[in-house]
Amino acid sequence: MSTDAGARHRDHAEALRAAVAGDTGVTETSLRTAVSARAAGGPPTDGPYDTLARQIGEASYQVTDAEVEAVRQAVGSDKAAFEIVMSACIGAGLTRWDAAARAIEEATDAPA
Amino acid sequence: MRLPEIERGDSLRSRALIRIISMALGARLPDAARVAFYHKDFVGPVLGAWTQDAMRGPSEWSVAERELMAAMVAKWNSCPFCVGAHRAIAVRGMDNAVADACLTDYHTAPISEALRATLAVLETMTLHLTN
Repeated sequence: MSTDAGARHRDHAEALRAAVAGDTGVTETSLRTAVSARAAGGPPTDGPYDTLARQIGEASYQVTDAEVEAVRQAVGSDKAAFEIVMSACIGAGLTRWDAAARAIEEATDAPA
Repeated sequence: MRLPEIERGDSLRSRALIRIISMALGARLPDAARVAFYHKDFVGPVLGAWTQDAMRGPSEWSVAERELMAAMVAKWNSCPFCVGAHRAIAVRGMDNAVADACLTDYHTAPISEALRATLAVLETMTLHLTN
């Protein structure tokens, strides 16, 4: 990546991280950031959130209706459930982005 | 399971768009589009802006190459719908045979070495992050 492209994508990544952790949601920011971290392999969180976040992070195609329904019941609305799912997905995605960005940086810093 | 409000749309505009596009397509509007239309106050616009820049913005990779990468990531994520959707765009800029060879086995497909190396990185990032 050229430095321009690198900077552009880094800005996008930070904007996405901020959007998950921001105040435009109906759920608590702390819940979203915990779920996001869990899906990225981070520390356990509570009950149904933990189960769903872990599954999204490890093998999202194996998420079950019951796992989604349990979160939907816990948060009380479709909008809130959506925020939990998206926060987990973005956490899982950004951890991969972070790893790849680090790898690229190390590769371009390495002496020839 | 689908969350009803996402299915339907959460604004007059979204609901109308979902109906009209489905009618024009003669098919159910894909779930990915419904998700993109939903809860626009939250992450949608930011995620969309990055997706647009990554997939269509200035790049040394062609759009077709980027769509092939997306199809491969979808394959590693076990999402058949996404494989199909990205492949369909990829083959507008490359031979069907090349795209399909890549999806079958990128190690031996007739693609550039740069693309092959990139796919190896993408595979590791998608599947083996904890290793």
